[in-house]
Amino acid sequence: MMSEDNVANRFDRQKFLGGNAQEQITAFTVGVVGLGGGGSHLIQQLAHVGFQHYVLYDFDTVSFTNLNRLVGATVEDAEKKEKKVKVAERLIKGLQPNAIIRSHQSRWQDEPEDLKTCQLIFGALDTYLGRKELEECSRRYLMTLVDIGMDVHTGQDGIPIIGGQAIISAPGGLCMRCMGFLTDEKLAQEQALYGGIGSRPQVVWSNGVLASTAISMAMNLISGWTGAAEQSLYLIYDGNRMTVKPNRAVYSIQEPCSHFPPEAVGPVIL
Amino acid sequence: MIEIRLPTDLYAHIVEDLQKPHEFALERVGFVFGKFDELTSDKSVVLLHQYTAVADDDYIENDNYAAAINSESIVKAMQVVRVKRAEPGCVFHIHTHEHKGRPSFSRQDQQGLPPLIPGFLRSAPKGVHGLILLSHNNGIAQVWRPTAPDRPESSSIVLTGKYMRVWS
Repeated sequence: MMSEDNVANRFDRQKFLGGNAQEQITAFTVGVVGLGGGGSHLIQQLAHVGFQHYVLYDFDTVSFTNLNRLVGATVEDAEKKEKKVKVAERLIKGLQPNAIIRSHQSRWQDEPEDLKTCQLIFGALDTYLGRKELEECSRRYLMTLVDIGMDVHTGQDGIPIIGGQAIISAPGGLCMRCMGFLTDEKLAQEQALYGGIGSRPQVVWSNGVLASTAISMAMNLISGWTGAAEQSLYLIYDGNRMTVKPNRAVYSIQEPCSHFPPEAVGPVIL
Repeated sequence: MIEIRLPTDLYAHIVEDLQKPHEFALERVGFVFGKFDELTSDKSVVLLHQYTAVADDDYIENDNYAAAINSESIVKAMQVVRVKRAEPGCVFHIHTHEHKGRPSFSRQDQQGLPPLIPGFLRSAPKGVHGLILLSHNNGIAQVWRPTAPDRPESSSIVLTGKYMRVWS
């Protein structure tokens, strides 16, 4: 059991975030969609930071191939084929015993109502289509989406290239299409490969960098601790050079988002 | 619990309008519109997306209130949601008090503003309606449901967009 003093002191080291930042962190409900390599890192950091209200989605169970990167998962979890939402719950409760968690071992699209109760959503999905659908929902319900993802492909010289991104898609701001991340071409290519994508390479360190970047971006949205007038919306991870840099092309976009008009909110009335 | 979500760009637009001086009114008021959705048994949201300022000529001189507006401006607000009665449209009267910290409705607010609500409820019976009060850095809201027109609920306000805040 933690003593009252320990409870009171546990966020001392992040007081620089601002006077009522911890109160704000406690007030938000965060959603995490996808609790694999990226999502498990997100969960761990959200719990450390002090979030108390969670909505979690992942239909999958733990397998041995997950253990190279799934934070919080054990060999026993793989043997038992434990649900990934249960591993996430255990991770959160270990740090935040009073956290309120609503877990869904399903696709979010099958049980979307709890997701819409969140103000801040983290997407850690594998597909462009999954990102597109999550962004559409987040915009209709005025939720801020922070998307992360990584990919490993082989370069011309045969050397693996690790890349990734952390993107904020917030109401009233540029969307992932505006920023050039989601395109019809990418969606079509993905659809053409449907069922043949196979298991994608994933590593713990890249997922960790991207999750940390996403949490960093979200914490600035909530606390404004950097004092920066403009938040970086699209950060590019280069896993070979080991750098995270802003996508400068996004800064030159002057037009407002045309894909999600302001009035397109709430339930779709047919 | 009802949560009101307000995009930061719309919030900035509202604040800019409400802070403009008026020839004789001591403060400005406006109407903000949104859609309602009952998400779960314990949480509903109002999604605000549009603001309409009260025109300069629609203010009337009244010694009892910092801002008094004519009936035409209220009718205009009701018309915005009336044209889409099939939708769960919402109307909120919005104004500011000039201080920092959590605001509270004044006695004049409590007397003068709730009479607006029945008209809103008739205009858009599928939505919820109410009052929003802002300070320089905070805000509160009262919401009336059509199913409980005599029992307003306090609601939290969430700013979402370029930055995020919860006012509860």
